[in-house]
Amino acid sequence: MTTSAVVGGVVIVGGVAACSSGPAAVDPNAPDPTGSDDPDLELRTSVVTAEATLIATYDAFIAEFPDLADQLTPFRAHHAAHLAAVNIGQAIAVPTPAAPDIPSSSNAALRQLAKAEGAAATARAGDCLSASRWQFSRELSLIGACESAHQSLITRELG
Amino acid sequence: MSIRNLDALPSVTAALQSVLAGENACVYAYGLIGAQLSDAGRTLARQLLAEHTASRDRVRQRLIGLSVQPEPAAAAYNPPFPITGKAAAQRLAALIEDRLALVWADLVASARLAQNDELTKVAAAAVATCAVRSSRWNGKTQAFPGLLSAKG
Repeated sequence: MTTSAVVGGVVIVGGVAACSSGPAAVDPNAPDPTGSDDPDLELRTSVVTAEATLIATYDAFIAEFPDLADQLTPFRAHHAAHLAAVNIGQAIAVPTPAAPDIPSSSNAALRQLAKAEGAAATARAGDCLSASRWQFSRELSLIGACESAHQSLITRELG
Repeated sequence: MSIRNLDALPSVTAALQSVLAGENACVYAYGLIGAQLSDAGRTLARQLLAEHTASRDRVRQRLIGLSVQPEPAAAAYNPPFPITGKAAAQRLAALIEDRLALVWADLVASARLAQNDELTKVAAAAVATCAVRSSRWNGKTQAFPGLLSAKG
């Protein structure tokens, strides 16, 4: 028998866990880039805008369709975590997106969210290739993966 | 290995070997998992076993293409908790997918540093695939798939 970082319960603690203390601290050995020193400032700003738009959409749909709150609130929280991780040092002014159009039904709202999550996941996967810093590329891959899972979960909920 | 230290960021080949080890572990684990499930759960386990087997083979071929000898699978793997019953099997399935997501994410980092766009893209897609698979077992996801399970 052997252990592995994926299956075993021992190696994981000293292996992957050691490199993964949190999304905002992927590389604590390097100073966090801020403002104009950040080679990825433009990309970060774009991702912050995208996440803020998703959060505003979730907020509007949850307010209109309270029956969706239990399902959607955790997803909204994930996007808030993405935004906080990407906006290092709060260097980027978070925009206030325009209120989205409200769909006619909760199912229509879910379909719209699934589409938005899929588009976000695709965008983050592309962003991995644009990030100047490998730390940010890794972080973007995880953000996109979360958004892919959101899309899948919402789509399966719709049946 | 710790990618918190720039000097210790694995090379692309080292990161690929880690992915290979992870895929081999998943192939083994899905054998355990499928044995505990029936009906739709077993069908899903079989489907994902096939996906991991195919992914493992692609990673092996990629290493061979780089003139690197792929490291062999272990004869057996020690699961982190007893796999007895449906709930434990589903829990293990979600856990290994989350952990594998993080291993693939490390390859994203290494490939990006090497400015290998093709591999960065493949690895990022694999991170997402793992997160979706995990959510199929436990009905949820994480803001940064794999980070919480790595801490546990």
